[in-house]
Amino acid sequence: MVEHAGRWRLGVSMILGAALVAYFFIFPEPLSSELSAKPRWATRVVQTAADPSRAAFGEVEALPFVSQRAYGFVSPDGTLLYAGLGPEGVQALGGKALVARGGRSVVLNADGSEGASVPGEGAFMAAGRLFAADGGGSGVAAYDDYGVEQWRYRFAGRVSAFAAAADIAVAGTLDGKLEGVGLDGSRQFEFAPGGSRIEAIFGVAASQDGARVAAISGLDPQRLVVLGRGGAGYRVVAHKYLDSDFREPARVAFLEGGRYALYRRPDGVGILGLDEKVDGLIPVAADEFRAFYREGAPRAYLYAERGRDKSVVAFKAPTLIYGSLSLPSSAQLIGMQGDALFIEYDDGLYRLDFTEE
Amino acid sequence: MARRIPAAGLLLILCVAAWAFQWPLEPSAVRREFGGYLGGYLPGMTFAGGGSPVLAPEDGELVFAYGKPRLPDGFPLPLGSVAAYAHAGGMLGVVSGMQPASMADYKPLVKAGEPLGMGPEGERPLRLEFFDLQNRRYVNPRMMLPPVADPLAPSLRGAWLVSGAAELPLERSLAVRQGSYFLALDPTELMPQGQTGMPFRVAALLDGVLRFDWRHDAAWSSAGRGMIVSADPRAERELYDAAGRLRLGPLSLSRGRSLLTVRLTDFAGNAREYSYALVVQ
Repeated sequence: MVEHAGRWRLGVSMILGAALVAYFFIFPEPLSSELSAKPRWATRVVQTAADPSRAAFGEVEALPFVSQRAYGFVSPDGTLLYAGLGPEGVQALGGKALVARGGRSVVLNADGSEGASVPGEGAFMAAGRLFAADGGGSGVAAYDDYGVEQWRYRFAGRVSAFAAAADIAVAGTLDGKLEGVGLDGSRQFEFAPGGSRIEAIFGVAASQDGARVAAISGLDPQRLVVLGRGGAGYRVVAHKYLDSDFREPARVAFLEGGRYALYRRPDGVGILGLDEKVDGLIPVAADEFRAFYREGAPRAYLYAERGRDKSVVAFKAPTLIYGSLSLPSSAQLIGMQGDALFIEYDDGLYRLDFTEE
Repeated sequence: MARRIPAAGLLLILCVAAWAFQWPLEPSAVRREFGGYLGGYLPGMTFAGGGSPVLAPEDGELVFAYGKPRLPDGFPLPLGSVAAYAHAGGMLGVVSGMQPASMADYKPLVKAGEPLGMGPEGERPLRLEFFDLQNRRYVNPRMMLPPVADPLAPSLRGAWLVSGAAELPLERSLAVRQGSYFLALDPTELMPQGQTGMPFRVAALLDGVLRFDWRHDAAWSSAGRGMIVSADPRAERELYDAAGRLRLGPLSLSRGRSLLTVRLTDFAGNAREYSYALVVQ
């Protein structure tokens, strides 16, 4: 019986894998001649039970995934570590998945066991830390790894953007202010970008070490503002007027440890060099994007989506583009590790590797 | 003095803007008043959406709209959607809970009375907040919206004297030991459609002397703490106890007879008093 199930899963996986290979074969991608994306494996998502014996996989960069249909973890080699079916999944980030169960927000470990949990369904993760919205959307509560509340902080206005780093959490508000909160819940800085007819914050990012904070702010005109930590607080290290008029969340992100700021533009993703004078564009349809870069790697990747268009761009900062790969519209990004792309598509999980020929 | 400046500014704005706004939904759809307890202080008011069109309370410009339950970075949006409009006089109107597919987020400018979107179906809540951009505080929407005929006075569902873990339900006459107490109150505004939560003004008098007089007019943040009541700023977290009751105090009761009076007043001016004769031993 077990052998039958194994063959059945193998068969389904092969069919799904073949379908994805066919997809990329029929719709060839304009990757450079030296770079190609090759399917490595496919795994069908089936419900599994929590299995503590698989906890060790958490140490080999298990990838959490959350979709409307399922949630769980997969290892880089394609082993399904844990999967639950249903809409419980809330968020996947780093090596953790957040689910809503019984009126609580629960962090799942890679083996499916439950970790920290907090009351309500307003929790979220950022930079590996657990937070929850508070004060009707005008505040935030921070929790430790055990789900014990560390602090609560009330911002003056409604939060319209949020980012966290190792030692700071930063919120942007509808009234156009940026406020940073330290690990002890105390205010680290407050900053009003100003310079626009209408003030609001549409996107915020913090570099991994918290030394830089970037935000898209204001209307008429809209601005990109980058702050750097120095002396007693944060000060402006770069700013740029934008042609955009986004009145919705607009992603901003850091790349290469804060060396570049990526930001949403109507015509793609802008890239601003902070240590050198670079102001470029990655021309990709991107209402929303995520950037991936591993220190020392020759390439960075940009996952971008606009409506049903989804793609991954391989590039070297600032703007040397190796090529892009279109993804099926129903595909959902799980994440990237180095040159490996992980997606969920049609009840299956897939890995594609970007390789140089 | 410092705390009076924002209060005066708020008053000025309210005088200028008073009732320049219109109700986004029928007043009879109000379900929760400003200052009600919903796991925390409600800095706006909620309506039963009823699937009805939500109308712009005033001419405005769209600042921010998003129709998903979470921001892209994961931060949850209360009631699953948000639309914020800048109005004249430095007021930001924020509507939460409209049906995402119905939101008029394609229109940068709206006229008063134009539909912003559709309210949620049935009794699912729609939330309205007004944020005073200059003074950086939420203001009670009833101070901005046209007055509504209201024949009913607020009601007190329960009152207790609290000392440590001990609670004494307040009755018309009560014998208590002298000492310091907190007053726990469970007041509610009464409207024809039912109980709608916190009355606009809650006051407590001891032997005819006003001891607490809290008007639920504004909510703001100070150094990361939620604050309420312009004239007598209080930390929001100190205002409610774990059961969601209003917590006033401390109140020192000294030996002898005292008369404790709780006075509730709604925004229309209807008032109701509850008096308790205390024998302090």
